Amino acid sequence: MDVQEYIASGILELYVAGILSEKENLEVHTYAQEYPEIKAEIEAIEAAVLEISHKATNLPAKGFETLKPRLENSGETKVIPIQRKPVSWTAYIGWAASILLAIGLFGYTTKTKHWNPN
Amino acid sequence: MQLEQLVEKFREKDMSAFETLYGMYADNICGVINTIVRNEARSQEICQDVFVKIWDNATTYNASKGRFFTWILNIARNAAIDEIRSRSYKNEKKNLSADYFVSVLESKEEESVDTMETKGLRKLVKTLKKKCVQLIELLYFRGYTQKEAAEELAIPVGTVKTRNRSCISKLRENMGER
Repeated sequence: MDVQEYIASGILELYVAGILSEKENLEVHTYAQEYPEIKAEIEAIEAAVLEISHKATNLPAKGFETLKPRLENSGETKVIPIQRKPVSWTAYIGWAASILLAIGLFGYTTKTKHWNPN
Repeated sequence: MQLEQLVEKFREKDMSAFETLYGMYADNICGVINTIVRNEARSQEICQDVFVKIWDNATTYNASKGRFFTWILNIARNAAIDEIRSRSYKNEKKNLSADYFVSVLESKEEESVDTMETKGLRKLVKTLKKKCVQLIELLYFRGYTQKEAAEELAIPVGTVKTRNRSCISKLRENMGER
């Protein structure tokens, strides 16, 4: 493999952009471990992208201390307890009313089943 | 500490390693979000959400998938794009054309007061052509594929890779001159 040719192809720049296919990504990663020149090139490209993104965008991030409380309360440990309120008797009124209605309707339909308008 | 070690500690949910990484990349990440969202206050919020997400997904990062910075950049771009696809931004489609970065550079160039920042930036991009700046914005700040970038800039797909290589090389040259 010709390392210089590989570097010159521009694939490493796309690797840093994160727009290669999974297969190509893995290929670059493997070569980077094998060839120090490739790894150094990737690092230099990344440094350039960091530099321009920093200089051109200029939106300073908030301090880490504003983020920290959110991290501590985040992730796998996050369990929201379910708070059950005691159910008051008023909640059952609706059920009682609908049951009574159902019984009433049943009684009414059985009574009038043989009703003939003529 | 080496970057690899830091990232490894971060994967094990080491808070102080994450703090160091935050210090290294948070300004870049927040800035890139703002090039897409274009609202500083909202971008700050999204940026914090992004770092919470990064922390929550620490164990899923794997170096074979790419550089750590590339990984978090991708999370940030996706969050910013989700933001503009929802809400009121729908009505501002025209603002979504990929020229924000270019216009920021141009407006910074016009500023009469030279702060350290603008001076540095001017030096950085002085020999970069507009087509380079556009391409860098599309590929790095917006995550366009080669094909999408080629369509946007009306150039052959095969040109994207080589042009980007020469643009980044120019940028590196400029950095070296300081």
